Amino acid sequence: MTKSYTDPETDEAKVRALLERLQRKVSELRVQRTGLRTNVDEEFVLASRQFLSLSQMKGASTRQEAIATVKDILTNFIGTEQFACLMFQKGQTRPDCLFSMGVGDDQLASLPSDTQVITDTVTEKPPGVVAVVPLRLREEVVGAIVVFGLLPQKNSLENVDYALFDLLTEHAAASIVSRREAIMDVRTQ
Amino acid sequence: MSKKILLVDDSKMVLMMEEMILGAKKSYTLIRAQDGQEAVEKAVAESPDLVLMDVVMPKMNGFEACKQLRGDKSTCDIPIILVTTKGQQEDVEAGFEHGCNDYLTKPIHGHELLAMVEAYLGE
Repeated sequence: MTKSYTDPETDEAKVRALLERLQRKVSELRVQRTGLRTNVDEEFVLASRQFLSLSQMKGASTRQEAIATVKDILTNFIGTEQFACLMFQKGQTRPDCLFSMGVGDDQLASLPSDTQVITDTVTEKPPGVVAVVPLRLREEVVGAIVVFGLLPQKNSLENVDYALFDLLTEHAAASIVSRREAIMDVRTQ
Repeated sequence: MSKKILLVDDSKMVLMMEEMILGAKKSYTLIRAQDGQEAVEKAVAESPDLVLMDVVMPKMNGFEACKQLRGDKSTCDIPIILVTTKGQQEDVEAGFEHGCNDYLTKPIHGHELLAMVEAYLGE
C-alpha cells in the first residue's frame, strides 16, 4: 500500500475555502427563507382580505351593513380615500350616488351617465379618476364604484387591489340591492 | 403565559384581519375594543402587553385614547402602535406627540405588522 503525501497547509486552505463557500451558501439560504416567509405571510394576508371581504358582503343583514362593508373594503383593505358608489334606478338614465367619501359635487357631475360609458371607462378612465369598478347584478351592470383618489401612503393600485375590485364587481351590488329587496319582500308579506 | 394584545378599531373587518394575522403565527390572547373610550377601559382592566389602535373612531379617537393611556399610572408603560389610514406626516407627528410608540399605515401588510408586534413584545 502506498501512502499519499498531502501538504497540511494546502489541506487547511482547502478546508477554509470549503467552509467559506458553505457559509456563503447558508447566508444565501437564510435570505431565501426570509423572502419565502415574507411571501407566504403576504399571500396569507391577501387571501384573508378576500375571504373577509366576501364573507362580510354575503353576511350583511341590512343595506347599511352592506354599504359599511363596501366602504371598509375600499378604505381599509384597498387604501382609497375618495370614492363614490353610483347605482341606476329603474326608469332613470343617470345613476344616483348611493354613498361617497371625500368627493365633491363637481367631480360627481363630470362622471359618465350611462352603463355603456361606465363599462367603457373601466379601460379608458376619465381624467381625475383612478379606477372605475362596474357593479354587476345577474350579469347586468347596475352601477359603478368610481375611485378618485388613494390614501397618501398608497402610490398605486396593485394586483391584490384588482382582485378585490373583481369581488366588488361580482358581489357588492347583490349585497346592497338584495338586502333592500329582501327587506321590501318581508315588509310586503 | 401568552402575551396579551388589545386590538382597537371601529371596523369589525379590520379587527378580524388583525386577529387572523396575529392568530396564525402565535397564540396571543387578543382583546377587542371598538372605540377609544372602550380601549382605555379595557387597557386599565386587562393590562395588555401591547395596544394596536386605529385613530379615526367614534366616541374617542386614537390620539385622545393614547394621551389618556399615557396619563394613567397603570397603563402609561404599555407600548401603543397606531394602525391607521392617516398617513400624512402631520398625522404621524401628532401620533407621537400624543404618546404612541410606533405608527403603521393601512392597508396592513402582514409581515410589517408581525415584525413590529414581535419587536415590541421582545420576541
